[in-house]
Amino acid sequence: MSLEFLLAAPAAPTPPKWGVFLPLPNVVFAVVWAVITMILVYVMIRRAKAGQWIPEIRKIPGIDAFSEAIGRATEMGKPVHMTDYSTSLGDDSTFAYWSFLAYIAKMCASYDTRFIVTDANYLVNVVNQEIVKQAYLEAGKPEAYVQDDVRFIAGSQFAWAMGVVGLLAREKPAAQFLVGFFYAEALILAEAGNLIGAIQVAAASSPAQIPFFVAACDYTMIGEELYAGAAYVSKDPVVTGTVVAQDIMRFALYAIILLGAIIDVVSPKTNFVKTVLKF
Amino acid sequence: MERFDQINPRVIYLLLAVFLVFPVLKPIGMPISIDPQLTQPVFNWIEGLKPGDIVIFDVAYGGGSDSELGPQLKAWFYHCMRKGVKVVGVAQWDTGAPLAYTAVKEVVAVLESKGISAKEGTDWAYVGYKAGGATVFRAMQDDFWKACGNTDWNQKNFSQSPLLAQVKKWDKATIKGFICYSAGSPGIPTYTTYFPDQDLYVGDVAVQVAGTSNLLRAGQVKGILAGLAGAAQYEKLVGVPGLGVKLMDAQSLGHLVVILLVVLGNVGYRLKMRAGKKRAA
Amino acid sequence: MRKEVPFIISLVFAVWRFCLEAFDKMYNYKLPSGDLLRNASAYAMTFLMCGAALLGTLNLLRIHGNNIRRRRANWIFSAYLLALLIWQIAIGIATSHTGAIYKWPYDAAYLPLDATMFSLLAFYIASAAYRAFRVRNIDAAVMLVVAFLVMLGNVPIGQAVWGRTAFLGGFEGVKNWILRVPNAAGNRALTLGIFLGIMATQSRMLLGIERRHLGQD
Repeated sequence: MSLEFLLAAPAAPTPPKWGVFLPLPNVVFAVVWAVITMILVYVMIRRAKAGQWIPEIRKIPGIDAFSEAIGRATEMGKPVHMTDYSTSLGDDSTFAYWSFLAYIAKMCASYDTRFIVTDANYLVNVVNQEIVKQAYLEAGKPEAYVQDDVRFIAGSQFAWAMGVVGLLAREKPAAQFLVGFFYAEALILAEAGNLIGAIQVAAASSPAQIPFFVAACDYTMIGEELYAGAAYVSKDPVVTGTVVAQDIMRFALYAIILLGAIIDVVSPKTNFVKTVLKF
Repeated sequence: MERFDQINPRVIYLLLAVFLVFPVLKPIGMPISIDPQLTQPVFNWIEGLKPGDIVIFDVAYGGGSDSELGPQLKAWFYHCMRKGVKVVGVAQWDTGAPLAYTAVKEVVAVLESKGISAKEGTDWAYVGYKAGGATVFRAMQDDFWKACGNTDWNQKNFSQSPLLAQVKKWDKATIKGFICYSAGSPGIPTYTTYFPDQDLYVGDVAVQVAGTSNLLRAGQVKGILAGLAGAAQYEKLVGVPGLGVKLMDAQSLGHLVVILLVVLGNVGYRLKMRAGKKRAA
Repeated sequence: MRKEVPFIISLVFAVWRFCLEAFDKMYNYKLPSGDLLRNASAYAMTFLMCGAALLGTLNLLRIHGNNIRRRRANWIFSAYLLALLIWQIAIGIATSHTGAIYKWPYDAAYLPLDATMFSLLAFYIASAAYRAFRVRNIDAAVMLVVAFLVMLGNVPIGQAVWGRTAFLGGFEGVKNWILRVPNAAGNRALTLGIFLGIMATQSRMLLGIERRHLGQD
């Protein structure tokens, strides 16, 4: 058989890893990591619900700012405003937002402070209305709930931002909470709040907008403090268990990074951590 | 001087407006230097290609970011056409799809006036926005025609385009790199997730460059056009100064105004603190 | 069943998608039509998004139609919205999205409004920076200095004052180092944390523990 014929043949397909997984980098590690995360989340939530011991979540420094801001609004007789530019119902930041929403709504209800909520997603807005209504019920003030104060403004980013800015100018809330994942409208909202003299607390998981919140807001919770804060305020075993599972996975990541860095220095050619991660 | 601690925001806005508008009306012409780590690799990519090579640009921005990313796209597209590199355009954002087509047509008019070939369907093609999100983009890897429904932006069948007849799938043999003009989500992660082995370049809004630098450092992105400065640098490299170069003076003065205001604010703050301590004493 | 059916649907598709990305046989499975399974699900997404757009349009018609019928406060804006919506749909069908009449509201109204809102950021950044960058402590001083270095590294005036050929590569060299070393480290730490949050929340949804998005009981 001539060699040219062999060269013309198509390359044999790469065999799957372990016989089942895609022969691409990171696949097996990703699957293992995902499965471990799911198991850990489940176990921690079960333990939290059963009242068994799980590590405590430390108090996030920005949490006190919520009650301080609401107290200020109550004294001044002005409303409290909260908003989130959620892109969809299933976003992780939306779930954290709901924990904060329930917490703030309950506090506002108990202090008889008007609470205005705006949103850019009408599906999320429906859930917001139910959460706020429930909070007023739990505070013993169901008649104080005003459905029109939990509003869907617009789906488009800047149309929503402009709607919120207009609302801020008209209603002049004394406190504003910016919780969730934001894009370019972040600074517009924060500065509009500043112009009316509102105390502002931000809890944002969008890395690009965190600097703007730090510059423009009185208190800022960054990154996963959003999720940890949501767990802390809600005391919900589901959220608490999730945050604990996240932290355990975070420590595991730190250990892998540290080990990999040390081995890379000591033995760069045979860094088995890199090989495992890329498997 | 203590009053500098409490400058009225209206005064700040007015000052900034004056310093932004003045250099647009009367350009100063400050020299622009090319960033060797961010902009130069993007230029080298196109410069290193052969005539007939096919590259793809993706529009992941809307009207708000057009002022930063539009000049980048125009300079890059001009470079490609001049080099004889073929360009296919797609869009992840529906709001940005018409913007990119308009921008490309403007450059085509300039190219044709200079006798450089830029024929739609032969030298470049624009597919535009296709609903379905990132998964549809992944499907373009295997069957570009089917994933796009066989129609381009002007509702013409792909078979009518000699260029698109060559692009059946997005593999390394067919496509010699991507550039994603990104202002948010969806954007760059579509390519870093589903096209990890392809060469990816990014035209980024300035606010996102800090985050995209991580990808550059990790090798997932090969070069970045960073905001309006990146557009100006690319225009200079290509030798066709446009909006980017024109507005860099304004950006320089704008930055100076911000620095000046911050310094004044700190001077006023310090003096106020000192006066307060003296009064307390 | 109001919550169970959506949960089962989302679970089935989430598991399917997970397996599609992980297992070789599923990833490369070819349907009898010749399409790859992974691409067929991508095409299905296109249909779903079109369906969602139709649903959204019908919902808008219902809500704003009700506002107009009952003459609620500001009902005139609902009428305006519906008139524009129906107009754009009709023109789009008649002339396609590249037609001049269809494009006119986009070019004349939407784009300038979008650009105007975005341009507000320039002014807001100036006032936010002026207010926030006060040297109250060491952290604030470091933030101020770094901000100045990065700002001047981005613009020609900074390059004119301290150029690339000078010590440390000038403002640009320092800016690049700041972006690529400390900024990258901080950003990656943030991204890791956010990613873990995303994974954990999605795990909750997958396991059926998180059901708030399905509505309250």
